[in-house]
Amino acid sequence: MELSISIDARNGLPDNRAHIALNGHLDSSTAADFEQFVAEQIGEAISILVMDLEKLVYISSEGLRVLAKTRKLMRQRGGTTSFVNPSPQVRKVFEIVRVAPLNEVFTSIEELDAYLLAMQRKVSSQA
Amino acid sequence: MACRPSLDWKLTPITLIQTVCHQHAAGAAQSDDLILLAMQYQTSPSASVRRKPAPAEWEIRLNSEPISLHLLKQGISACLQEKQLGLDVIQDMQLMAEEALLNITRYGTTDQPVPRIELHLSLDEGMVKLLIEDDSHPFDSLKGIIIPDLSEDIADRPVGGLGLYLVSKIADQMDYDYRDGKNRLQLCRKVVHEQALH
Repeated sequence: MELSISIDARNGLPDNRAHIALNGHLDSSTAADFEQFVAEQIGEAISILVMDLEKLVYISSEGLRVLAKTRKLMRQRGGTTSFVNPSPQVRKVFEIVRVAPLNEVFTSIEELDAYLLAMQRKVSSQA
Repeated sequence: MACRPSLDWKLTPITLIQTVCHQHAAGAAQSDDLILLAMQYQTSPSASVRRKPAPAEWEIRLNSEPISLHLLKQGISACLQEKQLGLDVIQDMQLMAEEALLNITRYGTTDQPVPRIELHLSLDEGMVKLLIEDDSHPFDSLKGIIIPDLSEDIADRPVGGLGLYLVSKIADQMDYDYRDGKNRLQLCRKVVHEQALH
C-alpha cells in the first residue's frame, strides 16, 4: 500500500509557507519515502509547514515517528507544523498518542488560515 | 616432531584432540598422564544457534497462506471484507498486525533456520481475533508496553514504544502465552464498540 506526496504550488502562498498533501498509507513501508521527501523538498526558508491529511487513510507508529521528526526539524528552525483535515483513522491515532496540541490540528485550510491570521495579529499587537 | 592428522572437519573437537595425541604417541608406551579438559561444542548443522534474523528472512503466513510483509495489510483487508466488516475494524486490525510484526522482526531472536510468523484471523462471537504465533525465543511483548508521557510534545518524546502502546489502546482484549516452542499473542477487537451504538 503506497503513499504519494504532493506539494501545493498555488500562487499566493507566502514564500515561507509550504503545503504538502499526503495520499495513501504512512507506515513501515513508506515512512522512509516521506522522510526523504521532507529532507529534499522542505528547505530552510520554510517556517510554516502545513500537512493536508484528508487523503492519508492510514498511519502507524513508523509514520508517527517521521511526523515527530519533521515537527522537531521545523521547531529547530523556529517554525511550525500544522495538520489539516485528518481522516478518521489518522485522527484516532493522533488522539491516542497526542501527536499535536488540539489547536494545531485543523478541520480545513480556512480554519488554519483564520488561526494563522489571529496569531499574526497577536504578534503585531505585542510588537 | 608431532604427526599432523589429516583434518576431517566432521570430527568433534574432542575426537580431533584424541587423534592428534595418538598420532603423536605413535604407539609408544605411555610415560605421562594426559589430562584433557575440553568443552563440547555443538557443531552439527541441526545445532541450535541463537541469532537475530533480518526482517526479510521471516516467513509469514496468514491463515496458512504464505504472504509477504508488504502485502500483509491487503491480505487482512481482503479477509475481513469477506466478513462484511467496516473500514474502522479493518484498519484497527491492520494496525495491530503491523505493530506486532514490527516488534517480532525487529527484536526477535530464534534458533530456527527458517523463522516463521503465522497469523490466524477469525471472527467469533462479535470479536475479530488475530492470533500471532512466532518462532522467536520466549518474549512477552505485552510486558514491554511503555506508557508515553503524553504531556510532552511528540517531538521531544523518546523514539520507539509507540507501536505497542497503540496496540494496547486499540485492542479490546490481549493475551500472551508460550506454548509448543512458539510465542502466541492474541489481539482481539470487538466488531461493534458499545459507544458506537449510542
